[in-house]
Amino acid sequence: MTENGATNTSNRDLRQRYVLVVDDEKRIADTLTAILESKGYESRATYDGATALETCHARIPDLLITDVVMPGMSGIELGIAVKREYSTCRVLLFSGQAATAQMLQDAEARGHRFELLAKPVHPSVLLERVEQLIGAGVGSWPK
Amino acid sequence: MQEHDTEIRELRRLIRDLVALATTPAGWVGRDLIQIADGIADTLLHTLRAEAVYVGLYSGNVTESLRAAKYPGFKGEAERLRAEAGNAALFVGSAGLPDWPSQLRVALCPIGLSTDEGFVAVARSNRSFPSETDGLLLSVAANQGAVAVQTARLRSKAEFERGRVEELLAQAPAAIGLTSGPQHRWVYVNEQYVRLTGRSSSSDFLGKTVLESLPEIETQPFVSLLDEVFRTGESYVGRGARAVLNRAHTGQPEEAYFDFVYQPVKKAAGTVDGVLVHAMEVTDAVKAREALETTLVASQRLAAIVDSSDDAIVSKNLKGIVSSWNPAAERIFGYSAEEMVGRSIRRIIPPELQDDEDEILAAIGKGERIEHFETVRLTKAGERIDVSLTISPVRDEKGNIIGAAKIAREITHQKRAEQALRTAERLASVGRLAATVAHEINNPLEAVTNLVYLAKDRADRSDVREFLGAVEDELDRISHLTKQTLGFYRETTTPTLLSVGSLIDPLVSVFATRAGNKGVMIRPEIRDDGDICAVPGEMRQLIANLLSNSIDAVDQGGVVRIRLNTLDGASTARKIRITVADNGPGIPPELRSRLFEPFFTTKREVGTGLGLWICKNIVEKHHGSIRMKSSTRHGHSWTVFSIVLPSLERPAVQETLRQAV
Repeated sequence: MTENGATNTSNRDLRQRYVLVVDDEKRIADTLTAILESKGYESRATYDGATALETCHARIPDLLITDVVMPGMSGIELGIAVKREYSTCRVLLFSGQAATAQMLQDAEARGHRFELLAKPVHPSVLLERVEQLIGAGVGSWPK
Repeated sequence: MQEHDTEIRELRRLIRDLVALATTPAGWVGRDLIQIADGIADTLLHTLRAEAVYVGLYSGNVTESLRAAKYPGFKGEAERLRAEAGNAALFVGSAGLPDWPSQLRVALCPIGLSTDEGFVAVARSNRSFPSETDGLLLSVAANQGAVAVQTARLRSKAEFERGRVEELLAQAPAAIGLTSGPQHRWVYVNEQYVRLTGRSSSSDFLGKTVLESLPEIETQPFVSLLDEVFRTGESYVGRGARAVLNRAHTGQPEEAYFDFVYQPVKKAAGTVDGVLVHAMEVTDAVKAREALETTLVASQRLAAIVDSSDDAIVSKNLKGIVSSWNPAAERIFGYSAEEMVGRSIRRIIPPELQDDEDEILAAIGKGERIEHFETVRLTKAGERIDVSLTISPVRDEKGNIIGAAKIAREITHQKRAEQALRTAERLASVGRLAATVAHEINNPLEAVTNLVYLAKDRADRSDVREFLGAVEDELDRISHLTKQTLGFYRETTTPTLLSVGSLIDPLVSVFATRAGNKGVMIRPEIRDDGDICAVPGEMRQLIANLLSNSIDAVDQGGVVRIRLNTLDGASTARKIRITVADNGPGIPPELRSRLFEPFFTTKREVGTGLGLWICKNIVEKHHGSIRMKSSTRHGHSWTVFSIVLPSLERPAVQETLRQAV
């Protein structure tokens, strides 16, 4: 089945895409991880920025999906650190707070541009965007 | 021989005295009658060695000369003898009072044709008096005297005539003077002229030149005018001419105004001999006219100030009847001057505040001034406005209070601004609260959405998947609501190319609930969509404000239409038009001009009065126009707002708007 899922992307390596999810709301991180896994991605949930960064050492994610406003390290700080150390990793922010817009603008002023999705984001919208960024999950079931 | 000698002596005396007498009257010429009478008497005393002489001249006033120190009562005797003499050319009689010498003889001779005109009586105590020579000399002297009297009388008649003319001139109401020669030397000035120039008598003028008599006019044009009149022989008429004269005895120059005529006086040959000066002072009239003009200018200036004032300025009498009503009053209260002048001011006072006016009038009647009295007044449209009144008593020239002047400043805007500020603060804190709540909603919403997605994905039963699909729809509505209400992203302020039609539909759905609750229908009609370059949030606000106003305006069962179409003109650039129409009661004409003013509202409880003002600003920023038409005709009332915006090629508009932002 793995082979089938990758037929239309034959010229890319077939290893399973790895998505790291970070949100201080455990239920959000967990459900999102479950959704990603159900679509054939390897995914792991972490609940704060520092842990997420440590997790990256073990395996460099293809994509980091992180909440913005969190205790301790913010999603933007995390994104900047990850992009600096692991240039191959893509970063997608998602947030439910209006204040995020200002934080994004500040980051942009310092030369860091991030894509942001507004919470609540429907899983199908998120998955569509994930696929555009890193390709389909190899373990996904054909529709 | 002796007799012969005596004759010769007498002859010599006669010749000498005749010569003396013949020359004497020349000395009398130009003399008064009394001088003539005295002259005759003295000559005869001397010539005839007379001891007493009486001269009486009777035509006109009686003039007498008596030389009779030795003979008191001689005059009476002379008059007695005159009655005896009748009209005899020479009468000789004896006169005698008890203590007079007995040989005293008196010779009488008429002066003139008869003794009625006058006579002379000469007395000497010599029995042979008068000798023939004496008689001859006496006759000659009397004749000479008559000639002198005649001359004097003629002269005095001429003088009398001249005196009469002078008297007339003196009585003339105008100042009159006569100058002679090119130096303008005064030969005559009347009393008025002396008075007018502030001098003390005509002697300050006569014989002097005009400049000598009035040195202060040297720098004034009068002497050169006289020169001109003298040279050309043409008269000069001056009207209201200003002169500065040292009239007061202090020597202080004094300003005066004159109407005057310089009239050349010509000799028979036609050459100019002098100038007749005729002047009349008009200082009071000129000053009065100037004062009137000053008052007029001042009152015009005052009127201009009153007219251009932003505050209502109104005057009324003590019964409260309006006597003036300025343009600001028309604007603020909605009544024209014609509607208010002559009417009671109570018209603009709300029923419950009618007592105000009684108190105001009572205070004014006592001469009190009322300052910054904040109260409420009614406009013609029935709108209540907040005003600050300052009222002062108006007095007539005697100081009696005859009315009041009232300045009313509209402070509704001020009050509304304060209210709007409070509302804005309240909204801001509500906004902060909402943002916090939103975050709290968005996160659980995200979790629930994920959970539902997972559940649906893994549900075996199709009905469960259907239920979960419905849950997703509802969750979608909630997330749409939070995003729309609170705004996730900051509204962009950069103009972008956008289709107006795409803005209208979502806004109609936003307002549909509110309209539905009120029983009002919104009918969007997109006939023709067009792209414009605009700030999306501002366009949304523009349309939302108009829709919101219309929904408020109509009653249940009313209809609000929003229509979009494009306007193509051969010569004009493509434009789009947004029309929002309702069949509400319409906007009263008197309110129409103020619709786009900030803080103007008829919805006092809910309105900020900013909606249409914001609309106007947005439209103007986008180089468009906004117009309103309305009808209040009962049963067929309506209101239409139409906005026309340019729909230009993208780069041009974008550039314009970038500059504007």
